[in-house]
Amino acid sequence: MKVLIVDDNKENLYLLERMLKNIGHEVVMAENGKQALERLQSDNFKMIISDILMPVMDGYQLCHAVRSNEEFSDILFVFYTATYVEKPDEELALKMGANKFIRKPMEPEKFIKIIENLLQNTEPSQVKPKKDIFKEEKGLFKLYSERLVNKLEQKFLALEKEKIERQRIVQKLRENEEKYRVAYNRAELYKDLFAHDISNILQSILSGVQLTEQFLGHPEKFEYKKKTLEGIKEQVIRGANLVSNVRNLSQLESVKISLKRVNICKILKNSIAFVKNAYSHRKINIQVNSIGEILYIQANYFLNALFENILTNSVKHNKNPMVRINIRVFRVGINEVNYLKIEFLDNGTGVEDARKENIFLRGVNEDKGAYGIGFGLWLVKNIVDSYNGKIWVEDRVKGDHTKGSNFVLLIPEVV
Amino acid sequence: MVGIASNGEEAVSMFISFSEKPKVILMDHRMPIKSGIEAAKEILEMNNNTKIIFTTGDDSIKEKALSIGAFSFRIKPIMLEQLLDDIKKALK
Repeated sequence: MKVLIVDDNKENLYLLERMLKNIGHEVVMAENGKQALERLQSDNFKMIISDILMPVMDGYQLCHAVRSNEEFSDILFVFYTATYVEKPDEELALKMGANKFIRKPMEPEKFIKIIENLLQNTEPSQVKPKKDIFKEEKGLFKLYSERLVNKLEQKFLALEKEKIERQRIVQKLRENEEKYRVAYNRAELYKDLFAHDISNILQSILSGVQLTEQFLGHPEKFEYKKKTLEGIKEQVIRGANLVSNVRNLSQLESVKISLKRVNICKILKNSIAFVKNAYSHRKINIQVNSIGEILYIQANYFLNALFENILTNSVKHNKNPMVRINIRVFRVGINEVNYLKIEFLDNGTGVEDARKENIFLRGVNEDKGAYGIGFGLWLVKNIVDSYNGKIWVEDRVKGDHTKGSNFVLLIPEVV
Repeated sequence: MVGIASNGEEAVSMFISFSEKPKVILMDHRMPIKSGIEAAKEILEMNNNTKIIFTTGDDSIKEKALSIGAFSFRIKPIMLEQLLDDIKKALK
């Protein structure tokens, strides 16, 4: 038998065609209701299987047109739809004169069974509904409009939902791109700067070893050799500090470490002992003037690294036979908040005015081709920031940087 | 005679202040205030007879250093003999 299949989706048409041809039926295709009516004019069909949502002319309009034409009164009409699947849609379809309403997707065997059953068991008198659909035209079109509006509303809501989801995905993509960019830049920076710092350390060690080798057979050069060996030891300590700082910095930047109440006086004492031990070959005098023995801030285990790096910096950049560091701890009130102000005053080489702002930075100042120095001070800045504090450097003697530095820390106090 | 500067800006200032200009400069690159490349450019513009030997851990600037007129370029750590050899060649 000849069947007219109507659907705007080529894949659906193909599948339907395959199913019907496999059971011996002849198949003609149309992509919308208008094309279907044209096919109907030029051929005789036993059945029409039609989708509903189609451009140009939809399935409901097609069904109405077929049932309004006496010429087609013996053609079975089946709706096969994925969009109009609610009960009211089915009711409208049957009122329009459809013989069957099938919801997609349906298993092929089941579908074929229904179609065959219709083709074989429907009496000609049963093909067209007994009711005169013209009399109910007004009501039908009202129903049709309602279903159409309903579908449009559903589609609109679905589109809105899709739009929100897309926006969320785009936002997530942007965030991930930014995270990747930050991580990539950080990795590149660490790679370059770590390589640079290690090269300098190795150079100092190599030069020290080679100079010592040259004077091996010269007992009169004992003091010189002793000084060179001390220099080598300092470079090894510097290397160890570098590794520790990179590790700490990496952790600080990638993981949120929680803060707790910490007594800074205790940590300061430990840090002083650590630095004196590390630089046991240097004469170091560190005095602490504090308003108390127990003073608390919100901090974590990085506080050790903070103090150690500031103290190490003061020792490294000090050419005096005796390194003097005076640590002052007192309380200041700023905007009704209590802070602990910790000053590290040293008699070192000092920091020129031009460097005071950049000293805590790593990387390049593009305008001047200048580089910040010290992973250590960069780590210090990061730690202070994580404590909601501030750090800056002044001259120990105002206006004369050659007399040494004053590294100033300002951290909120907790009770 | 040996002079020491701790950054590029100091190197340039010292160079200007010397009546007898240094024949050889051992120049690092990654320094605060002014980098080695920037300092070398300025010094060579003032006096292109000065031989600048770059001694740096940063190998990414080799091409740049040689293109601005550096005498030679060494990556740290450098063996003393190699450095002395470069200095001797520069002084010839």
